[in-house]
Amino acid sequence: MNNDLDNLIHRFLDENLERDEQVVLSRLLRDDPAAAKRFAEISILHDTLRSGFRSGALPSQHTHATITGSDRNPSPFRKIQPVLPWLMATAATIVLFLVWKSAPPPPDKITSAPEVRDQGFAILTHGINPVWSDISPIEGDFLSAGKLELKSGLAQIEFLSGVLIVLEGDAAIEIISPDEMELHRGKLRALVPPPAVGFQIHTPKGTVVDLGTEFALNLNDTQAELHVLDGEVEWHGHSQEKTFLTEGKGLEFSERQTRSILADPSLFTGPARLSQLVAKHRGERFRQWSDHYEKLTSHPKLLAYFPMHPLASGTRELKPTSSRIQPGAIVGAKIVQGRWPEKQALDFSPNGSRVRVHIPGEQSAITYSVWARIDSLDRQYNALFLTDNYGYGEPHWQILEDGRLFFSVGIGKGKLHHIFHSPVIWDHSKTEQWLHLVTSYDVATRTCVHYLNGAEISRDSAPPEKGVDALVLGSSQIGNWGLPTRDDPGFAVRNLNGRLDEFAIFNAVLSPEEVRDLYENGRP
Amino acid sequence: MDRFTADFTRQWTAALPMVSAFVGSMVFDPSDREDVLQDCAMAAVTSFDRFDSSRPFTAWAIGIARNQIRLYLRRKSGDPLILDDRALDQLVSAFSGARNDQEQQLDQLETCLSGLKRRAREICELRYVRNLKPSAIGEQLGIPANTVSKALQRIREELRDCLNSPSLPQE
Repeated sequence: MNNDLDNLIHRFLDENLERDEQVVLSRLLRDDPAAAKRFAEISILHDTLRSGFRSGALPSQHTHATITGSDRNPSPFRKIQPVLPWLMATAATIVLFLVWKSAPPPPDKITSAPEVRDQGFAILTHGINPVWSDISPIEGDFLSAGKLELKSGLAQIEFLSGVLIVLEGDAAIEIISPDEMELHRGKLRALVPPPAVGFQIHTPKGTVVDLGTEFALNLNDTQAELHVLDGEVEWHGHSQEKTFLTEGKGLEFSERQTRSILADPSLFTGPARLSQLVAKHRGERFRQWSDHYEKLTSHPKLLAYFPMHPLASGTRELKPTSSRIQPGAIVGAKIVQGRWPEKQALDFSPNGSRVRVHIPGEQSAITYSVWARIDSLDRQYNALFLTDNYGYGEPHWQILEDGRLFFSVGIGKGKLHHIFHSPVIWDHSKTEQWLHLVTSYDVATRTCVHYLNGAEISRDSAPPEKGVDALVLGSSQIGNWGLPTRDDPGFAVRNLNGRLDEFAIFNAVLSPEEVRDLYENGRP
Repeated sequence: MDRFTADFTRQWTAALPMVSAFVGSMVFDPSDREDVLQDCAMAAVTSFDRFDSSRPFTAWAIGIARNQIRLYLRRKSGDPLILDDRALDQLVSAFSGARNDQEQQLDQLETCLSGLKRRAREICELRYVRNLKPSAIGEQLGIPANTVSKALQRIREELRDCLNSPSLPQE
């Protein structure tokens, strides 16, 4: 259960909720039985406290109630008595006792959702053309204890203790804890702020203990050097006492001896230089995408393409690249930064957000492609692209609250559809990451394939009785589902809590190579 | 006492704590809350002959309370329905399915309250003994209302965790 819901419930019970927040709470309760259950659990505890204190069953230490005016305890039977004297005569004692002396039940077993936990000692914050072996983390990933091998490129890693390192491939490291790591080979520059003083890097030649500074290490087959770029470090060699080194000094280690050298910051890439490289790299990636997007507009299999570029501030129209498709209507969604500073996207987190589109015709196959940056999956169903209704042949593409992609096609009223689930594609650790999501469906084989970041993650076929003759999109919505009507003003809360960028629909099943190409040309 | 009366009284008294919690979650004024509870009792007793005894009485009584709450909120000028009908329906189901172990939990709660820090206990009592809203508590303690709100949430969460704690003696 998410924190926002709890917060709304607690503040509702404390009469400290704004009207618009009450509307949100009302919708959450209406659409999610688990939310209503939560409300009941918290309310019961609230009521137990209230009646417990006021009846004296719970002792008051600090406060003595002054019961006057509307705060008085009126007889609970003053209205019933004239009408039902028999009830007063027989049941009053019991009811009165229960109203005023006995507390309503606190929950028998109030279950609290487990606290969200991340796992890892450091975060990969930047990468410039990184090529990893075995484990290939991407920007934003948490790094747990273990070995990492950067074959080439640059990587910036921020330890949770506050230490920042820039690693240059070819390099091999091992993360041990937030305060400790090992460098097996390669170049590394480390910034250790005061809160992280004591950070240690072990090497085959000895251990560096930082005393609040910036230093660098260079280890390869022929060289082993320590450079102190700022402040002071403590060096613990394998066979000698510890050595203090200050700014501008360094050590060179060889088989036979250790000698002093002058530190040379120009040999190592630091965070400032890395930032420049990151900006340059992003610019190159954006230009690569721009070239690709021009080509994609004439892709023979393209049915509808909303690149969300350019997306002028304040516009409420989402332009497709083809004149055969009408522009979409942006409702509620905010225009925000997309995968690059030069590129926009839509944020669907404001309640009710959606883009209404109309995709005419019947299709024998479809492939959806979108970039998503998800903040949370706090709805039971988190919409990607859904038809307004769910009739025969109408597909729904969404993400379940457990992080799995969910694709289904309506097969007629009252008939149970087949659901194509993917493995979990999102959890809390991916909050800052842009994910490329692709799902294809082929009518003839009733086969659905899900892709994440260019790689196939699941493939499943529905039985013949769950198939349809054709897919029909028609009036549909990006990022939400459900429209209120005059008779039924309510609607399900399914808007995606996050951003969507570059949405495309193809009228064919894209090959794994084509999907990979979309990912490679679009990744930030 | 005739059988009808005895039967109703027995079932109503068993259901009343849960009905009270349900009403109390939406009717905040103490006096109004008791009025609505009495209206619920009157509505229940007058329609008790139509109650299907094969169904749970508490759920039926909460359904009656739902209608009384709607009537009360509509009667109260300037205070339209705060939760819509379908949300109310979901709450009827949720409260009807909730468990009911009253006195044992009250004893445990007393132990849990003793574990609260002094300030938290003070805020808790200002809320529940004096029936003050967060803004009034904030004025009294010289802190913002939102801080009080957050504190109240934390207090209830702490008490809930304590009630679920395996170290708490279970009776």
